[in-house]
Amino acid sequence: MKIQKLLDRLKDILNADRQAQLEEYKSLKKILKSLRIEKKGWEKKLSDTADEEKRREISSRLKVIAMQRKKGLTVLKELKKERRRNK
Amino acid sequence: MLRKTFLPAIFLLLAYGFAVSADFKTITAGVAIFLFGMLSLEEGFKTFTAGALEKILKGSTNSLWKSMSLGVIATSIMQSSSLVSVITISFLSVGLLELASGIGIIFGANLGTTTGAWLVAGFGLKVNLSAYAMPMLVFGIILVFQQAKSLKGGGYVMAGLGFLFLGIHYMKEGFDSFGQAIDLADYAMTGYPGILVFASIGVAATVVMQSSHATLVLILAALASQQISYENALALAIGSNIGTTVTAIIGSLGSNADGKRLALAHLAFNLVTGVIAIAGIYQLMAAVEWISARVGIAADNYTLQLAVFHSLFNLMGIAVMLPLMRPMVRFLETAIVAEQAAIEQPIYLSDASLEIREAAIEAVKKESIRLYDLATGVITDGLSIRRDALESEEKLKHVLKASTDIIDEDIDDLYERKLKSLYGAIVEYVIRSRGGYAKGKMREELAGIRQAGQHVIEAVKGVKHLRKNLIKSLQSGDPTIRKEYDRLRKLIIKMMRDIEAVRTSGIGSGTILPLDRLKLEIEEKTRQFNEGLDTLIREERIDVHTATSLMNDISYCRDICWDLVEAGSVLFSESPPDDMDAMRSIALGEHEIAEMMADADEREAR
Repeated sequence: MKIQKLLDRLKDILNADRQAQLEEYKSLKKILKSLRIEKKGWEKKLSDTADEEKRREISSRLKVIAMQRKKGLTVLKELKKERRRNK
Repeated sequence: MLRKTFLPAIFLLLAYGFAVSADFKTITAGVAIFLFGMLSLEEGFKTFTAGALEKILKGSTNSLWKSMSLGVIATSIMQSSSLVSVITISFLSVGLLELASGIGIIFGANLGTTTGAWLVAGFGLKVNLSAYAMPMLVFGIILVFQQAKSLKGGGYVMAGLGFLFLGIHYMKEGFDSFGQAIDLADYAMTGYPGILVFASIGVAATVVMQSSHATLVLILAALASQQISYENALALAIGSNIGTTVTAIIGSLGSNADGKRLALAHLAFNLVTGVIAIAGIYQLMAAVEWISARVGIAADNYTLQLAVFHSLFNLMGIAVMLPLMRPMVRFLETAIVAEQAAIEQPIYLSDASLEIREAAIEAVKKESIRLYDLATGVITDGLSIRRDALESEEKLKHVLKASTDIIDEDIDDLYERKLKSLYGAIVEYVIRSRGGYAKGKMREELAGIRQAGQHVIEAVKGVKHLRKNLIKSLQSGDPTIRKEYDRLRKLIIKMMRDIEAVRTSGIGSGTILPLDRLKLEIEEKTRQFNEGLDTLIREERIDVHTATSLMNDISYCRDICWDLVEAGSVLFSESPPDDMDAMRSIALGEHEIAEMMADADEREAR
């Protein structure tokens, strides 16, 4: 591991704010990943079903997930920027 | 009277002691430093165990043996049976534990506390502990000033151990030089009168110091310098075991019925064990002698023999009390009954749970969920729909068809008696904990749960408004008006059913942010209602006055649904706090939902 990376990690451990920020970043990434998996699952279900009402319901779910992901990715970018600024 | 004179009397006694003996000063300073070390250690473990202890408790207390082992291990590590008892009471108060598991932990804690005697007798009195104490104090205090929670917690633990060692050192020093001036052994008493007198002294000393561990170290230090006889030391140890229950009893005073039951079980265990130990002290002494000879403890090593005795009589207590546990639980449950009040009282919010961070959050959450459950009852009554309709799988169309009669409940009275007072208690509790130790994430989490409670209250207030015209619609014979209000009722009940379904599956266990879908549905339905209303006005099927009322009620209906969904998304989430924060930042608000609707309109227009 490079010295800079080691120093960054040490900063994370010693600085409570940075640690909290790192944890938030990790959680957000985890949730976005789960949303991606959930989205794929619903997309598969949508292609498998012919029932119009069910298709409407699944489409609505997919729309919500897409919006959640869009919002989450914006927050993630902001956090990334902030972490870079605090280095 | 007794309470007013107790503290000055202790102060006077101590002042007299300080005036006549410098060694007494050293010994009591040792006790004070030791107790301060215990406080620091407790603070450290509280910081350290945030969240972890809850997980361990949940996973390790589903059987009696597991609960007992947890009690033994936790007390051995933390070296404080009082802390374990108080944590157990607070967790029991908020329903994280069952009474039988709590009793199991207490039984285990009684055995775990004996490791302290072993450590002090086997190691503490032989080694110069002050040599270890000084660096520990320096490193510990430096760590205490760090920002990071884990380092701070570690600092408290290290400084706590440092103070414990320093306290033991001073007690030992004090007794050593005390022995050169006065021989307390001259006051030794033999036979049962001596045992009873010294057991009472043990009880009193532990009640004053609030720590059986401190009493035991004092006994060991006095025994090592031959200031008390072995027989009297054993009686003191028995007394300290009984006296230690006082901490748990004080801790349970502010807790609910379960907390009080546990404190009583603790007292019963230690009292029965103490009585048996006093009655059979000579037989136990013979047994200790036999065991000591087998494990290689010298016949004149009384401090280690005291440790053997301490473990042996606590083990004997467990053996005697274990078969009686089930009847004891039954007896306690019938002897201490939870109070029923006309005005809804909180059952999870207690001073005992206020002491422990995770317990405080859990208490506020559970009480708020209770508030939500009570509110759903008031809401269904307010909408004149049977309460069981929420849990049944009956089609909503049929439910509404069957719900034509007005449920004659005084909703204002229900709101005042059941909800307002309970929500007030939640707010007060959150303010008290936030004014105290709650910081950072915990503060945010508590504020979030309080906000969820506010949403519940707002939803009920909305129903109170909606009910006025709803009753009129049920009473009127106009099918058009009835149909419109049924649509509003249907949406609210559907939301409550959907939230219930998400609650059962658990937010964060498989699906992410599922309640956001309901927000979109609320907005779509609200739009449909408003469009339908426009048509009704255009076709002159309702008059303007009714249309205005309906317009307001559609708005109330929308707000009620939003409030319920917002409350549900906080109260029924099982995710860890960090994930919750991330979810909150992703959760869709009114603005994003409006954006989605606008996008859909645009697509449709194209």
